[in-house]
Amino acid sequence: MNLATVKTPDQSRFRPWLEEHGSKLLLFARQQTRSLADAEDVLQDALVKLARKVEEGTFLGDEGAWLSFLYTQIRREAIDLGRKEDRRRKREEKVVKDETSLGRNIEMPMFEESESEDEQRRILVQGLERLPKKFAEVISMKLWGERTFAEIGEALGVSLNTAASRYRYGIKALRNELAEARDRGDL
Amino acid sequence: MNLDRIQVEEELAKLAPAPLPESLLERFDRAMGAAVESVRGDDVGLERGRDEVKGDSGAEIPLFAAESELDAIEKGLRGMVPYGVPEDMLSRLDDAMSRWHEEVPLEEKVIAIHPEADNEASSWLGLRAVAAVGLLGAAAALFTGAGQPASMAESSERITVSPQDGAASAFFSPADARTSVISKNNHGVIWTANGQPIRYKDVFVTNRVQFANERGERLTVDEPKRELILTPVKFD
Repeated sequence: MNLATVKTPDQSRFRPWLEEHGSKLLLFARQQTRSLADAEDVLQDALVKLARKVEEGTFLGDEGAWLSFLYTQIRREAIDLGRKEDRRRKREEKVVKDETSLGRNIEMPMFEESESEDEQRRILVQGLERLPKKFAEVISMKLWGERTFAEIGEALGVSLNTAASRYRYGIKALRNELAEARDRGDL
Repeated sequence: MNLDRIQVEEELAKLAPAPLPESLLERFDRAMGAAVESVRGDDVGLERGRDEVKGDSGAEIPLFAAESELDAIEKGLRGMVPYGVPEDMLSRLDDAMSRWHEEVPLEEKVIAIHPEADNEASSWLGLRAVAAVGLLGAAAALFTGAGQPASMAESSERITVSPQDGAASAFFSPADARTSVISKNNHGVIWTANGQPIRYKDVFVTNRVQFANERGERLTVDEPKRELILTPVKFD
């Protein structure tokens, strides 16, 4: 990434970095929350905290550590938000509308469209969206966030081995989805 | 020579199978280890990376047949690109980051339901300081003729104390006025008859006014008071 990219006067110095990494962070935030709006909120809160620490000089590490910090912070913000919403729902005695639409928005897909929209890809995307959060978040951080299992474990508060196990279970679960699709004749 | 069956069997029993070559032993051992890991979910070797699982030739050895399928799935997932952040969202996020200094940390926004005693005392004393000036004139009225309070303009400046032993009168002027909070009680939220929640507090204070004369003598007047504070409460 060319940090010397010229930016418009109303853009912060974080803009180029945000353009490069924003999509993977938004994906992770959507996996942690119940709606696109909530995902944007937790992502924004995490980014503001990062900006504050960087500008105040209290951030430990260089730019390479921003992603790890943000993954951890996004998860914390999402947990806090989830607790607040649970308390509000209990007070209002409302039922969660759609537990399966975690972070999804019918107007905005999770992944970019590709030239080869083959059936396998479609099943993988659907499988990933249906995967339990604890597996999906590890896959997201590993494959698109390019975090090590040690960093993933630290962000999620689990051991390195647990992070690796969840990753493996998640991949196997997706493999099972593909196998079932083959059995049905969809592949 | 015809060997009978028993002799043949005895000769056969003396034979021993040839030992497995080292490479084959290693391969079987890894396959069994991977099968165990698969059952336990213990991926001790996963972090080392598959590149480290090599044979004598240096080529990567698949742990078991299904591993290649997992690799293919992983490759397929890597090929998927997370949906790009929409431009308007990107601008909002960027704007929020550039205005980080306007963000008030959550801990500064949270107001405790039962604030600390010191905070309440200081705020109450602050309110009392404004009213203290009025106490000067009010206290002076205590020293005027019985039942006939003097005007504020006259009594706020000088107070005449006539000693009973016939000595000369001393003129006292207001020197200080302050309020001390003796105790306070937060009774929490109560509900009125028409369903309005009200936060109910009461505060016991002592209003103290000091007067001094030209000789430096001081006269202190204490007035204990109890005030009830009823504040409407907003709720969702």
